[in-house]
Amino acid sequence: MRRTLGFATLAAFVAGCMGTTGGEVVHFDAALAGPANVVDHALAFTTGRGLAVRLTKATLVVGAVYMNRAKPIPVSQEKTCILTGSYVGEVLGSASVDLLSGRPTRFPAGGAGTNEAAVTGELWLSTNDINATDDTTTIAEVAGEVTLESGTVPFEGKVSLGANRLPAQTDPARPGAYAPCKARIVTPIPIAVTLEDAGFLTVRVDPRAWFTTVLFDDLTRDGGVFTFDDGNTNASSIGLAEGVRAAQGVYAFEWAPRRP
Amino acid sequence: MRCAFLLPLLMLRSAFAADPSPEGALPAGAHAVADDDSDPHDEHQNPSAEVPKKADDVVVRGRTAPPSRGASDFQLKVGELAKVPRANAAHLLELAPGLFLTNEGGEGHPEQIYLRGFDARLGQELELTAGGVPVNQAGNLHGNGYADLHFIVPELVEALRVVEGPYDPRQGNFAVAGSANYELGLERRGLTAKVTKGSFGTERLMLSWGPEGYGRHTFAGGELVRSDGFGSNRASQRGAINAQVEGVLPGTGTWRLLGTSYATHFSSAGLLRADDVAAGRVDFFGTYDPRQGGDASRHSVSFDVEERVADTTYRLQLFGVANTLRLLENFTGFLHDPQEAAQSLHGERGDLIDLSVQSRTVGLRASSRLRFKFFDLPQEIELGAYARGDNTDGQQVRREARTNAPYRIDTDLNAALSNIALYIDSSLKAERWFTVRGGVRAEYYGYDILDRCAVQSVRQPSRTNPPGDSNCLTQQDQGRWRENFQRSSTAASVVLPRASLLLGPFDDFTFSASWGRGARSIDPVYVNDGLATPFAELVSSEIGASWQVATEAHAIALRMIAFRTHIDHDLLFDEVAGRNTLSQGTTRMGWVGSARYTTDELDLSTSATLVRATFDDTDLLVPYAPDAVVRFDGTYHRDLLDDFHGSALHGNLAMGSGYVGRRALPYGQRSDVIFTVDGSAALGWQGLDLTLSVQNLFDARYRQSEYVFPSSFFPSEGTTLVPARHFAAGAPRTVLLSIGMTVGGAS
Repeated sequence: MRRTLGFATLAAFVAGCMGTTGGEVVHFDAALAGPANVVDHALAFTTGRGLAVRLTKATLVVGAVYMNRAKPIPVSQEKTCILTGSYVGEVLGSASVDLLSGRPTRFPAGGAGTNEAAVTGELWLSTNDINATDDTTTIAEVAGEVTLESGTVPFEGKVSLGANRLPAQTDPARPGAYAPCKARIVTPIPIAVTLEDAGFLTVRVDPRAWFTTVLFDDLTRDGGVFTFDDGNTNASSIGLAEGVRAAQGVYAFEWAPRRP
Repeated sequence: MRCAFLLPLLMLRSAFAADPSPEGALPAGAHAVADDDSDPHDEHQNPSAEVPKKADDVVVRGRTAPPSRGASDFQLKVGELAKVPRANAAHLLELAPGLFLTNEGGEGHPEQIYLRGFDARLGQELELTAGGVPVNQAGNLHGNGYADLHFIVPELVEALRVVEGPYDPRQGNFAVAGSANYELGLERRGLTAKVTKGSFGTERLMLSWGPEGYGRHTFAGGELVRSDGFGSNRASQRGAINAQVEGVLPGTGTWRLLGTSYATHFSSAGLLRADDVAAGRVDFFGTYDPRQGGDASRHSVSFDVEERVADTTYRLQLFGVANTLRLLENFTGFLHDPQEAAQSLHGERGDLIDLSVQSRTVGLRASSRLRFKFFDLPQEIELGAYARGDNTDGQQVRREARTNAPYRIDTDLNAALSNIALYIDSSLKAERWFTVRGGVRAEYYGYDILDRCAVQSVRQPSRTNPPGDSNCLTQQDQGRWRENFQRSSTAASVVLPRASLLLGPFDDFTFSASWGRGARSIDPVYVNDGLATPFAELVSSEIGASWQVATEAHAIALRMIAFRTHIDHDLLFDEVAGRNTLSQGTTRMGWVGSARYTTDELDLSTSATLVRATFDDTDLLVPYAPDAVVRFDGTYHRDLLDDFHGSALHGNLAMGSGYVGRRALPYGQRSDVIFTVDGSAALGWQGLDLTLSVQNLFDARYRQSEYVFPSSFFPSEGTTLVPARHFAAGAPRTVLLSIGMTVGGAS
C-alpha cells in the first residue's frame, strides 16, 4: 500500500506532462534521381549479356514510394499487394524523372511516416488505381544504341504496366493469383532506412540494370531501329519490363538526416 | 394495493450523497426512527439505506443500499445538478470523478467511456446497470460488454452509485475500471409534458407521470427525439420509455416491476483524417462515407422484491433483456480488401463494416443480509448470488462502396454465454471507528461458441471445385471437404477477494484503504476449445481520505484517493476490426480529488483525476486514455419572487464544464485539449418550466475523439498507408429551449 501511495502521488505530478507511447511521426522530402555518374546526358555500359549499350534516354514515372518495417514472406506476398499495418514511410504524388539528367526530381508532396527502421522499400509504378485491370500509362521510356556483332543499332522502347503484363490465367481455382497490382509494385527492395523528421530521401534509379537480360536480337527492326514491344511478345521486351520491375540492383534508397 | 411510503430516513450526509428531500409527506402523527443497526458515524455509508421500521401506525418501507466501500464509492444524488445541460442520461456519469465520455459514432452510438486511465470503450471496462438490470451486453460482436445507456430517460434518473475500482463483492463481470448503477425515480408527481426545440432541427417531446400518493419509484415516462444533427450525416431519432411500479408486500417489504423500451435510428459522420481536413478535401464537420450509422433497440423487464424478516433482509431480482444493434462504420476507407488467389480479380471495394447483433439475456440476483451485534457494535454479513445467460448472434460483413452490396463476411458467430457468481460480503466493526468490509466473489464463465464462418481462406483450394469469392468455405487445404462452421466451448472459474478498511471519522475525517481483484470475460471471438482462462484479471488497490462537514446551512465534502490497477490483458482500439481487441498487460496509477459544496441555493461539484497508464513490458504509455480529467458542475437556484401571481417564481442557473488534457496517442502523439462549457437558465412558476440551455457555450471547435492509424479514403489521389491522425468532431454550440408543464401533482 505504501508503494501504491508513492507511485500514485508521483503519478499525480507527472501525469499529463510526461511519458510517451513510443515512436514519432516524421515528415521529410523525397526525390528521384538517376545514377550519380552520368556524363553528357548519356550512359555507356556493358550489359550482363556482354553487350555494349549507350543510353541517351531513360525516364521513369513513379506513382508512390513506400517503406515497410517488415520483409514480406512468400505466402503473404502471394496473397496481397499491401502489407497493412507495417508501413513506416510513404511518398505520394507521382514524379517523372529523367534518369540521365544528373538532377534529382523532387516529389511534389513530400513524405510522411514514423521513425521505425524500414527494411523493405516499394515503388508503385502507376499514376492511376494500382488495382486497375489495365493501365496504358508509359512508365519507362528508353532510347540509345547497342553494339552487336553486326554493328551498332539504335533502339527505343516504352514500358507500360497494364493488362499487357498479366500472365495467362492457367488455374481456374486461383483466378486472383496474379493481381494486376503485382505487375506495378516493385518489391521487396532491400533497404536500411530509419526516417527522421526533416530528412531527405533519394530514390536512386540505375537504368543500366534494366538491360541485364536483354539480348536485342529478337526485337523488331523498324527503319533500322530496334523497337521494344510494349507487351509480352518477345524475350527482350519482357526482359526490359522485368528490369524496370526488378527489386534487386535497380533501385537504392539513400537517406540524409537533413534536407540539402 | 397499499402504497408504500418510501422515506429515506437515514440522511447521513455523506460526501456525494446528501438527499435533502424526503419522499412524500409523512401522515400526521407518524414518525420514523433510524435503525439502531446503522452507524451514524460511517462517513462513507450510502445515504439511501431506508430501513423498514414500525413507528406508531405507519410502516416505513424502503430499500437497503449497499454499504460504502470507501472513498471511491460515489453515491451521486442527481438533484439540482440535473439542470446542467447534458446530451443524454449517459453523461450523468460525468458527475463521478474522472469519468469522461466521447462519441465518435453518432447519436445512437453508445458513448465511449474513459475512467481512471481506462479506455473503457463502449462499456467493456465498466459494469453498468439500471435499477440493477445489466446494461453491458455479453458477447456483443462490437465489443464484449457493449453498453448503450440511451434507453434511460434523463428526467427519470434519481441517483447513481459509481464505485471506481473492483472493491465490492457485488461487482461482477466488466467491473474493471469500476461499476455504475442508475437508480430510477421520479420526484415530480402528476402529469408532466416537456417540449424542446433548438439548433440543428432538434426536437424533443418528453412525457412523464407519477401517480399522486405513490412514492417516487412508481412512475412512467418517455421521450421522442429527432435531430438533423450538426454538420454532415448526423441525423438521428429515438424513442424511449421507462416505467416502474412499486408495491408493498404483506410484511414490510416492497416489490418493483420495471420495464424499459428503446429504439433508435441514426446516421454517423465517422472519423476524418486531420490531413484531409487541413488540405480542404473534407470539411471539419463532414464525412467520408454517408452510409455510416445504425439502428439499435433494447427492451427489458425486471421484477424484484426486498423483504426484511427479523434481522435479515432478503432480495431477489429477475430480469430479461432483448437487444438489437446494427452499426455501419468505415474507419479505413479503401485499404483492407486484399486480393485472395481464389477470388476473381477485384480492386479495393471499400472497408465499410456492416455489423449486426441480436442478443437475449435472462438473469437473476439474490441476496440475504444479516444484521447482528457483536461487542455491542453493528455487524453485517451478506450472501449473494448472480446469474445471467446470454444468447447472442453477431455478424459482421463488408459492403462495397460502389454497389453497397455485401462482399465479404468477416465474422458470423452465435455465442451462448453463462455467468454464475456467488459472493460473501461482510461489514465488521471492532470499534466504532474501525470497520472492515469485504469478502469474496467467485465467478463462473461458460462459453459455447458457434462460428458459422470458420474457414475464410484456403491456401491450396480444390481445382475442380474452386471456392470462388465465397469466404465461408467448405474446404480445407488440397480441397478436402469440411463444413464451414466450428463449435468451441470452454469454461473457467475465478475467485476474487475484495476488502476495504474504513477508519473514522476523526474530527470529520475518514480514511479508507481498499484492495480487490476483478475479472472481465473475454470476447467470444477469442474462445477456442479448452481455453484455460477466458477472462482478463485485474488487481486494484487504493487509499483514500475524506473530510465532510454538514450543518443546517451547508454541506462540504472533500475526497482524495490514490490508486493502482493492474490488468493482465488490456483492450486496445483496432481500426480494422472496428473495436477494441486484446492487448498485453498494463498498469495504471493515479490520483483523484473531488469536492462538493451544497446549500439551499447552491450545489457545486468539482473533481480532478490524474492517471499514468503504462504497458508492463515496455513502460510506454497506453494510448487514448486521458491522463488528466477535470470536471465542474454547479447550479444556483432560488425563488426570484415569493409571490408572483399567487405562486413563487423560481430561477435556476446551471453550468457544467469539462477539461480533458492532451491524451497520449500512438507514435508519441498527443491529442488536442478538450475544454467545453455548458450552461442553462430556467424559470419555474407553478407547474410551468421554461429552460434555455446551451451546450458548448463558447462554440469551441474541438476533436472529441482522436486516433492514429493507417487509412486511405482517396485512393485515386494515392494510397495512404502510414499511420495518420483521425478525429471525430465535437458538437458546436447547441441551443435548446424547453417548455414544460406539470398538472395534477405536487413536486
